[in-house]
Amino acid sequence: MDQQPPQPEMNPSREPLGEDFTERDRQFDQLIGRTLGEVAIPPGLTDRVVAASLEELHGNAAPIPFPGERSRSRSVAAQWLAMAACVGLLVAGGWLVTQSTAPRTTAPTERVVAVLDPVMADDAPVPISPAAELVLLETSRPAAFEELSPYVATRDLRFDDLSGDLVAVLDAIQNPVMGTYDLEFTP
Amino acid sequence: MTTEPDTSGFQDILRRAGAGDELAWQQVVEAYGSRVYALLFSRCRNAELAEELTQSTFCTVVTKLGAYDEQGKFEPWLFRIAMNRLRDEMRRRGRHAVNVANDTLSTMETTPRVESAGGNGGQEQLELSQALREAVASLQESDQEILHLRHVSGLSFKQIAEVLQQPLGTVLARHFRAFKRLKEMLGVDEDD
Repeated sequence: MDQQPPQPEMNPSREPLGEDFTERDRQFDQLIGRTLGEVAIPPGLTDRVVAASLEELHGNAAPIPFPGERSRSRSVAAQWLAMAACVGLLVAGGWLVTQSTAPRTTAPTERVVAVLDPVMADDAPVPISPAAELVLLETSRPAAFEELSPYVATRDLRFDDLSGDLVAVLDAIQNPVMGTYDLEFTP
Repeated sequence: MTTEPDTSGFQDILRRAGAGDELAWQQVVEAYGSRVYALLFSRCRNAELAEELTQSTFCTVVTKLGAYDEQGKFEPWLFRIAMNRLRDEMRRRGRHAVNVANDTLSTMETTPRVESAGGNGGQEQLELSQALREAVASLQESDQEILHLRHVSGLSFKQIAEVLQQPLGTVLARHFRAFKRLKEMLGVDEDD
C-alpha cells in the first residue's frame, strides 16, 4: 500500500507570489520551497498511520511504534493505576507525618482522645509545583472550573506529567493568543 | 502525492471515510500523511516525534470525521490539529528543559538532502541551501510557521490564515517580513 518514494517532492507550491513581486523574488521563493521541502518520509509511514488510526477508531489507542525505537506508550489503565498508586503514597505519607507529629502519651490509666484538626490534616506536605497549585486553586471555584474544563477536555492529558499538563493549561488560560492555538475548532 | 486530491472526488472520499469506509480512510491518509509528517518534521527535526504526532493527528481526525461537514476546510482543519499537537508537545518538552526549536540548527545535518548534480554549481547550490536553512531557522517562530505551512504543507495563504486563526492580512504581512528578512540575510536584493 505504501509505495511512496523515500525522497518525494514535498512542495506543491500551489500559490505563487503576487504580482508585486519581481521575477527574482519568485526564483528565490522557489528556492525556499525546494530547500524546505527536502524531507525524507519514513518507509511504511502511511501503513502505520492507517493502522494506528483504525485502532483508535475501534477503541484500542495504542500507537504503532516508530521502527527501530522502543515504544514508550503505556496503556491508559496502567497510567491510571500509576496515578492511583501515587495518590495512595501521598495519602499514606501524609498520615505518617500526622502520626509522627501528634502528641503521644504513655499513661495507661488515662484514655486520650485525639481529635485530628482537619485544617492540620490539610497541612500535610504534598509535592506539587506552585504553578499547579495555582491551577488547582482556580478550579476550586465552580465558575472557574466551567471556564477551565474546555481547555482540559481538548488536551491530550497523559498523566505521566501531571504538573506539566496543569502548567500548560495555565499557560493557555493566561495567554489569550495561546488559547486560540490550543482549542481545536469543531468542523 | 504532492498534488491536491480532486476536489469533488475527494469530498466523496471524505464522506465515505467519515461513514466508516476504511478504504476511503486509507486514501485520506495516503493523500495527506506525508504532508502532515513533513510539516511536523520541519518544525521539530525529530523523526520519531514527527511520526508520533502524525499518528496522533490522524487518530484525532478519524474519530471526528463522522461529524465533519465538508466545506472545503479539511486541509486547514487537519493541519491545525497537527500544529496543536506539536505545540502541546513542544511546550511539554520545554518544561523539561529540552527546547526542540533550538535544536534545529544543531540537528540540521541529520536532514536528508537531495543529491546535488556535482561541480561548482552543485556545491554553490548546496551551500546556498544550507545558508537558507540557517536563515530560516533564525527567523521568529511565527514567521517560520508560515514558511513551513506554505512551502512544506503546500497551503495557500488563505488556508494558512485559517490554520493559524489570524487575519489574512496579518499572515501576508508576516510572510512579506520573513521573505524580506531572508533576502537581506542572503544578499538576494544586492545589485549584480
